Amino acid sequence: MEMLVSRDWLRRKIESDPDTDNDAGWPIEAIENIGMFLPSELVSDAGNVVELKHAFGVFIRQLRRRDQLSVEALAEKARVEAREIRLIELDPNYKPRPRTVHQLAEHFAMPPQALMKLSGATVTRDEALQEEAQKFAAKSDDLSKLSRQERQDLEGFVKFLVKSQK
Amino acid sequence: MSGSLIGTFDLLDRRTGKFVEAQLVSPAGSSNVADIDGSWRPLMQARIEQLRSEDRLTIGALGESELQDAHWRWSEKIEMSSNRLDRQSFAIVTEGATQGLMLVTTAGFAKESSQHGKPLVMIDLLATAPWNRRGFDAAPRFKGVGRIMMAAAISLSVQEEFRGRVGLHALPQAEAWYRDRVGMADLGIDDTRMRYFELTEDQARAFLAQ
Repeated sequence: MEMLVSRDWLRRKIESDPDTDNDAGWPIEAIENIGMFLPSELVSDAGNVVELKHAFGVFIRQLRRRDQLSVEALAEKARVEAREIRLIELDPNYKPRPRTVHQLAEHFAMPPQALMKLSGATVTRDEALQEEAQKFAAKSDDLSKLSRQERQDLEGFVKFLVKSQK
Repeated sequence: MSGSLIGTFDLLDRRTGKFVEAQLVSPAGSSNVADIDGSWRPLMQARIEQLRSEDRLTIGALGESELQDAHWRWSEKIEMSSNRLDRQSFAIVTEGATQGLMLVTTAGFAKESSQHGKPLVMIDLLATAPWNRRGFDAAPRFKGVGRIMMAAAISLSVQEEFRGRVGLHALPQAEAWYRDRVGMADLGIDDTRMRYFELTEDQARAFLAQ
């Protein structure tokens, strides 16, 4: 890329510019849009986060069951630790690492931002997501093989997550 | 590893009043990520710890201290930029340290009425090193990162045949700069809860002709 201004022009302008900040991007208030992480005490409404994380654990388990993968097999395919998948599936208070969420999103071809919200890694005020996630988690049962209804519920939730990121 | 050298420019050292040679590179690379992880982040984290110890850790305080990007996953953002054709990253380096970073996408569309729907370069993030931020450091070091990055964004826009169109969301402390100095159209606060600015073709020409 060729710069359309010269070094001298930039020096003159920088010298005469007012001494102000120039930062642009996303503010803290919009963290959910960029996947920013806040200190945990600033994450409001911890109850909702736990519920979302519970739904995240159920969601990952159902996707894994749909694909008939063991925890170890999923860990290997997604290049994450099996221990972390177990914690995600079983412990709603567990906060997965961002990399793990991204790897799982990539493996299951899911929108990373949606999974970041669902995992509690990013803060969300998305009430529709919270409602759909709770409904999905409540309807899912841990049978060895996905029932037809569970598969429909899973597919419905996948569609919701994909659509919510468009 | 760093990207290709776009050009050698200068930043004004506020401490000495003298210009210091700086390199603009694109894309940003692993050395810039290492700088952020090794230099930027510890400073920002220390400030967060300070606010925490003083029981003043609030979202508002983070904003006032310009810690809005303290928790950004920079390495992933930069890696994403390097893997996608519609993303580009720029870094300004001087004295062996990354002084500023800019992440842009070339898949944005204009909202300003005279150019609505036309493609533009969207600045997703423009950040200076913590020691260059007035809200972070009482005696900020280098001045000029924003001017160089803006010139780079306009140059990229022209190269992409977007005629200089650029869009961005300004942080509150930077709104006056983009409106009054760069001359961008102020389209008000949008659904991101930030003020959105857009540079039209005419405004880009005016910026370059200043």
